[in-house]
Amino acid sequence: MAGSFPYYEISAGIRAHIIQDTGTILVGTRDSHLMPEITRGWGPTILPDRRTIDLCISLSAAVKTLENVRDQEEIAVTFHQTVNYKTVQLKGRFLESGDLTPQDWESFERQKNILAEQAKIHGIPLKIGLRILPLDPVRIRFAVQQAFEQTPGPHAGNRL
Amino acid sequence: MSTTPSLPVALEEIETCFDGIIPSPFCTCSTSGIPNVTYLSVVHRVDSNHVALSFQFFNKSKKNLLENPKAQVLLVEPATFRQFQLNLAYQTTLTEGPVFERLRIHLDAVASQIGMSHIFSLQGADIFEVLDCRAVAGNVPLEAMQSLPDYLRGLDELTERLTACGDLDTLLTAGLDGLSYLFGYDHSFVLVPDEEEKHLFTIGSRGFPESGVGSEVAVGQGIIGLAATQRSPIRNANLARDMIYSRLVRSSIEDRRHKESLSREIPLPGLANPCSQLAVPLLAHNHLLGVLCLQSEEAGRFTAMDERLALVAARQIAVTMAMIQLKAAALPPNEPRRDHLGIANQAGPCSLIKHYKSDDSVFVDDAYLVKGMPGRILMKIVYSYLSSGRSEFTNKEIRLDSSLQLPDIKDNLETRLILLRRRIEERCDFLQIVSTGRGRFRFDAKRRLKLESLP
Repeated sequence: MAGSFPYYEISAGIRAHIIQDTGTILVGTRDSHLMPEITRGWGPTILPDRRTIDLCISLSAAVKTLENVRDQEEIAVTFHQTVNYKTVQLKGRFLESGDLTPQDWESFERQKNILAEQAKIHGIPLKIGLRILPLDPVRIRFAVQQAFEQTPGPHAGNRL
Repeated sequence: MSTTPSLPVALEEIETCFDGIIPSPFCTCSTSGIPNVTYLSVVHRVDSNHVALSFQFFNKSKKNLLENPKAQVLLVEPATFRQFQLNLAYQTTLTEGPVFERLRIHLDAVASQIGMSHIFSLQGADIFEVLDCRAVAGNVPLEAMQSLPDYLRGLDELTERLTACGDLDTLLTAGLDGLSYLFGYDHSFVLVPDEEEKHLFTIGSRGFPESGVGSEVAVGQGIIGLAATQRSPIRNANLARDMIYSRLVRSSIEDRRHKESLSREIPLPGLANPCSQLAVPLLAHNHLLGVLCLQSEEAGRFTAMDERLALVAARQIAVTMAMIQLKAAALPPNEPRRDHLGIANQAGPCSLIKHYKSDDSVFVDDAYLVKGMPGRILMKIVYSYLSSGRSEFTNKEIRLDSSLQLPDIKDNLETRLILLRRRIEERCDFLQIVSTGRGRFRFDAKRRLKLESLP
């Protein structure tokens, strides 16, 4: 179980990837019947303990995700750079949810700008590409226990 | 496949989600309850209740599926960015059959485009039953959805323009212009196969900074080469990603100062930042006459609807090509006029034409012009011009010249002459091949020419 792993301290390299490069974030959870659920995440903030991350999900689009994490703590979050395909997956335990803080809004805006830049490179019109941004964000917090390389290639799946 | 109740959103209604334009998030879960979330390049719709995913590597997702068959995939509609959640149940893995072949062609096209054919291979097609398909809450309203354009009117006009063409040159221009004016396909080119059907070479293009006429693609390689071997259209909605790899490879060759190895290579027509590409074979009676290729800088520009439209246009172009070629081969040409003498001995500047016999490549003043069959044809013309002052020729005499080794069965002489004429137009303003009537042409040189044959 995820709970059996100790907390993972996020390295400087992963921190830079999450904060500076990540265009899209995926949040994976599951229910008590082991049915997986995906929603998109936004605006990650790495807390000072370097073991905990806040990020935003859509209140309306992520109803099932919120139900899942309140019932089952396991969570997997993938941070993806959409141009060079560098991807890191963090796995851990949900801790709490709440309203966005000013710091969350700042992180949200930062990631929106990164995604806009990357969408431009892909030739995706901004007015279309940014439609996946949530209009009703809510904050979730999770503790990181494992990190995995997920960039396509020979090292995909390796522990970081 | 088993029959299941209809889904809240029918898979047929969200057809463009399966084009692979936007990567699809995919989530599985181990029996110990740890989710794993990753991206898929493309989800293939099999039927109303099933999808297929390519299985290339035994990764965490595959391991989870063998433990727990439940999965979820998130699809994005490219034109609107509406999102749809599909709850899936893994059923089986196919290693042969039409679904497997469809996935294999798609994978081969991407792999060969980036020179990774030897690494990427399809181990199986993982088949999933779709238990549920519903729109993600918060999807934007559908004001962005546009009604379908009137394609029939455009096709009517295109076929009218094509059937009015009496020669291949006019047909190519009319075809590519028509695709642009009538359907907005502003960047297109046509390639035709060589005698052995080992390579395809560009004979016409529209909407590119460089025409790329004469550029080659190996049959079976990349999207274009695979469209030829598979006799099937191939779309790539993530061309930008593949081009990043291709350019890195090319720049690494140049960095190693092997530029001479590229000197006889004409770059394919291409946009600076292509994001979408569609290659459609030109088939007449299942005989490959060429490949039509469309490019766009817009991601996801070519949908399944565009593919069908291009297929219809390509069939009409191919049938007209076949008719023109049959007509050209059957009808006797007008005799060449003998009153136009060559100007081989005129005074003025002189240009050196080098002919390398090893591959029949021709360089004019050390600049590469053509190679292969078009090179041999040009050498025959230049030799006749220099030795006897002849400037008037017929297609028939070229076709019957055994030294040119034109194939008996598939006579592509007209396409070679078009390529040769267009390359000369682009590269040598003092040389010209001018049509002088049905099956006849004239070679003009405004400079003195000197010919040098090399091994």
